[in-house]
Amino acid sequence: MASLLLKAQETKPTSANPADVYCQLAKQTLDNTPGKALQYAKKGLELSHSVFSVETKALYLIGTAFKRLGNLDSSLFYYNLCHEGRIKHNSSPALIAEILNGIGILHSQRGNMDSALSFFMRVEKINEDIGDSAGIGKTLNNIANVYGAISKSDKALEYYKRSQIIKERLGDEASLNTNRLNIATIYINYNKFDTAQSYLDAALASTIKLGLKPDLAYIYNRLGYLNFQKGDYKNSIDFHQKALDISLELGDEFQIAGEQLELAYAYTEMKDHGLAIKYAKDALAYAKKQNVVTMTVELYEILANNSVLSNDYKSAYEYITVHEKYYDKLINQNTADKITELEQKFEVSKKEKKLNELNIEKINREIELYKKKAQINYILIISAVIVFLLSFFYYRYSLKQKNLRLQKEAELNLERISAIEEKRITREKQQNELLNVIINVQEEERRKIAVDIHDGLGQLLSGIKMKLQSAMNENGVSEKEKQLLKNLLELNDDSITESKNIASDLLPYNIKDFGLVTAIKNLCYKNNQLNISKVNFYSNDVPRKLPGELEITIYRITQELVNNALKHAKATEIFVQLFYRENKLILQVEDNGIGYSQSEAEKKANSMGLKNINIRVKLLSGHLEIDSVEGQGTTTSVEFSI
Amino acid sequence: MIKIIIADDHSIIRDGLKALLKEEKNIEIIGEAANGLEVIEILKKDKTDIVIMDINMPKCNGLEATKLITTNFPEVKVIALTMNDQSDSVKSMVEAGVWGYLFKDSSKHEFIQAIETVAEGRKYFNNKVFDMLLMNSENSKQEENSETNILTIREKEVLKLIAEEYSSQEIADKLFLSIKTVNAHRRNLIQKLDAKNTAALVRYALKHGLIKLDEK
Repeated sequence: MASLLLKAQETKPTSANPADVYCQLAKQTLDNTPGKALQYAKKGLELSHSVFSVETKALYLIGTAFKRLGNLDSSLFYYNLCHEGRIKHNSSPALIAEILNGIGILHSQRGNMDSALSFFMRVEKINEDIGDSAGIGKTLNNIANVYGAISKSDKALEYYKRSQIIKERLGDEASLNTNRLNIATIYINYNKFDTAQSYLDAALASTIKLGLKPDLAYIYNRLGYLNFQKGDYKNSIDFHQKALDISLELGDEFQIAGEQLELAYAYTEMKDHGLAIKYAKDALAYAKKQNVVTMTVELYEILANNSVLSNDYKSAYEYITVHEKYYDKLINQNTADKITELEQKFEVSKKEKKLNELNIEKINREIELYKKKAQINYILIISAVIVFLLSFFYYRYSLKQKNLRLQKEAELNLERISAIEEKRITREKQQNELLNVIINVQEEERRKIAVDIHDGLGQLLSGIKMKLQSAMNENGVSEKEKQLLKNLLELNDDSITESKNIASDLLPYNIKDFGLVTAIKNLCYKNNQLNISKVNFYSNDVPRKLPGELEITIYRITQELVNNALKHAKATEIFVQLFYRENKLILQVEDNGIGYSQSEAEKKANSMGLKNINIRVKLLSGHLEIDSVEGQGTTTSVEFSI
Repeated sequence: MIKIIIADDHSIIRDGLKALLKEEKNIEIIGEAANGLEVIEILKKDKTDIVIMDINMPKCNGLEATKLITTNFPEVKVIALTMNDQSDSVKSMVEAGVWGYLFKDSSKHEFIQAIETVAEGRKYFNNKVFDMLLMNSENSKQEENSETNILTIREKEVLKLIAEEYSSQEIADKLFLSIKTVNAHRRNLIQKLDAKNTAALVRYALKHGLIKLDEK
C-alpha cells in the first residue's frame, strides 16, 4: 500500500492519472480502515479534474466510505451525485447497476424497504440484461434481505438459495459467507437453531481464513442473535460484545449502534436494567444523530420497558411519551410515503397495461386494412397476412406475458402494503400494553399515597387535635397561651382539610360509593367554592353502573380538563356535561377561557395534560374532539362506546 | 359516672382521647384496647357503659367486635370512631348496631355531646353521617340533575342559529367551530330538552326568548 501511495505522489506531475491511484487506495482501505479510505477518495475526487469516469468513481467510493462509517445521510448524498453523473454520461449498465445497488442498500439500512426493493429489482434487471452472474448472485441476496426485513421469510429463503447456487458456481467465497449468514438468520427465526449454527460455523471458518474483519463482526452478531433466540443470554452478550469491539475498531457507527441495541435487549432479559439502559442510551445518541427513526422508536421502547422494570415510572413515562412522538413520525411519514409510492407504481402499471391494449386494437385495425387490399393480389396478400398474423400472435403473446408480469408486480405491492399494516397493528398493540401498565401503575401509586395520607398522616393530625383541645382546658393556662393554642388548633384543622383534599384528589373513592355522576358533580362543585369561577354540571341518562376502568378514565379526564380551563385558559365559566345515548358515554367540557388558535394547537397537543388525556382515550378506544376558538373558549368532547 | 373503654390501634388517638376527656367529671375511662379481642376481655371483667371503637384494627376489627358486643353484651353501647368517611363502612357499622358515629377529627364539644347522648339511651349521628346514609340508600336510583334546562353558552348560540334556520355547516362557519362539534351540540340539545326534532328545538328557543319573530 505504501508503494502505491508513493506512486500516486510520484505520478502527480506527470500525465498518468494520480486520481485513479487514490481511488485504488481508497478501494483497498475501505474494508478495514474506512476513515482512511474516505480521505483517499476525497483526494481522488479533488484530482479528478472533472474527468467524469474518475469523478463518479471517486463519488461512489466516498459514498461507500461514509456508509461504512455509518453516516448514511452523507452516503446517500454522494451516491445520488454519482448516480446522476453516470446517467448523464451514459455509463455502462454495470456501473449503473453498481450505484443503484448501493442506493438500494442504503434504503434498506434506513428501513425504507419498499424503496430498497424497487432499486434492487432495477439492478437485477440490468444484471440479467448484461448477463452478470456475480451481480445476479449478490442482488438476489439483497432482495432476499428485504423480504426478510418485511417478514416474508419463505420468499427470502427462496431468494437466498437461488443466490447461493449462483455464487457456488462462481466460487466467490466471501460473498457466499454473506449468504450463509443470511440463511442462518432465517433458520434462527424458524427456531431451527442447529441448521443455523452449521451455516454460521461454516461462515466463521471461511471468514477467519479470508481475514475479513467487517464480516467477522457480522458473524459474531448473528451468533449473538442465535443465542438470544435460544434463550442463552449470557453467550449472546459475549458474542455481541465481540462484534461491538470489532465495530468500534473499524469505526462503523451503524454497526456499533446495532450491537449496542442487541446488548440492551440481552441485558433486559438478564434483568440487568442499568446496563440495558446504558447501552440503549449509547445507541440512541447515534440513532438520533443519523435520524434513523426505526431504531430510535425501538430504543425508546427498550428504555421505557427497562424503566418500568426497574420501577422508575417517571422516566418510563417520559420515554414512552417521546417514543410515541417518534412512532407517530415513523407511521405518518414513512408508511404514508411508501403507500403513496406503491399506489403510484400500481397506477403506472395499470396505465402500461392499457397502452398495450390500445396497441393490440391498432394492430387489429391494420389487419382489416390488409384484408381489403387482398382483393387486388389475393395470393400475395394471403402469404403476407400469414406472416403478419404469426408475428402479430407472437407480439400479442409477449404483451400478454408483460401484462401478467405487471399484474404480479401489482399484487406484490398490495401484499407489501398489508405486511406493513400488519406490522403497524402489532406495534400499536405492544405500545398500548405498555401504556396500560404505566396508567395502572400510576393509579396504584396514587391509591397507595392516598391511603397513607388518610390513615397515617390523618390519624396523627387527629391525635394532635385532641391533645391541643385538652391542653386549652388545662388549669393554669394563661390567656396568651390559650390564644396561641387556639391558633395552633386552627392551623391543625387546616392541615386536616388539606390532607383530605389531597387524598381525595389522588383517590376519588367516592366514585365507587356514589357513582361517577356524583363524583364528577362533587369535583365540579369543589372547584366552585373557590368563587373565582363557576363550574356547572349537567348529566343525562348516565347509568349508575359503568365499567370501573371507564369511570376512572372519565373522572381523570374531567379533572384534567377542568384544571386546564381554570389554570391555563383562565375561564370564568365552565360547563361539564355527561350524556348517555346510543350505547355511548359522552363527556363534554366547555369553557369561556382564552382559547387558542390552530397554530398553537399542536404545541398544546404535546403538553403533558393533553398527552395524558390522549393516552387514556386511546387505551379505551374512545374518540377525542377539541374545538378551540381564540378569545372565545374551548369545547372538548370525549366519547366512549359501552 | 359514664364508664368508657377506648379501642384504637393508634396510641396517639388513645392518648389524645384520654387527655380530651380527663377533665370531664362524669366520664371515667376504665380501659384501653388496641383491638377488638382486648375489648371483649375487658368487658368480661368490668362493667362498662360505652365503647369508643375504631373500625380499622388488626386481629378483631371494629365491625366484628361491634357484632360480638351487640349479641353478647347488649347493655354495652358502641360509638364508632373513624377516619373513614366511606358510605359503605358507615352503613355496615349502623347495621351492626352502633349507637353513634364519630370522626376522629371531631371537636371536643362533639365528643362529649355524643358520649352524653348515647349514655342517655339516644342515638347520636351528625348531619354528615345522615347524608352518607341517605346517599347510600339512593344508590340504586340514577341521580338526575336538579338544574334541568340549563344550557351552556355555546348551546344557546347554536340553538339560536338553528331556530334561525341555519344549517350545521353555516353554524360551524359562523361560530368558528368544527361541524362535528356543532352536530354534537345539536344532539346534546335534543337530549337535554327532550325534543323530538329540530322543530321542537325552535319552539323552545321561541318560548325562552332566544329568538324573536318579526312582527310586521
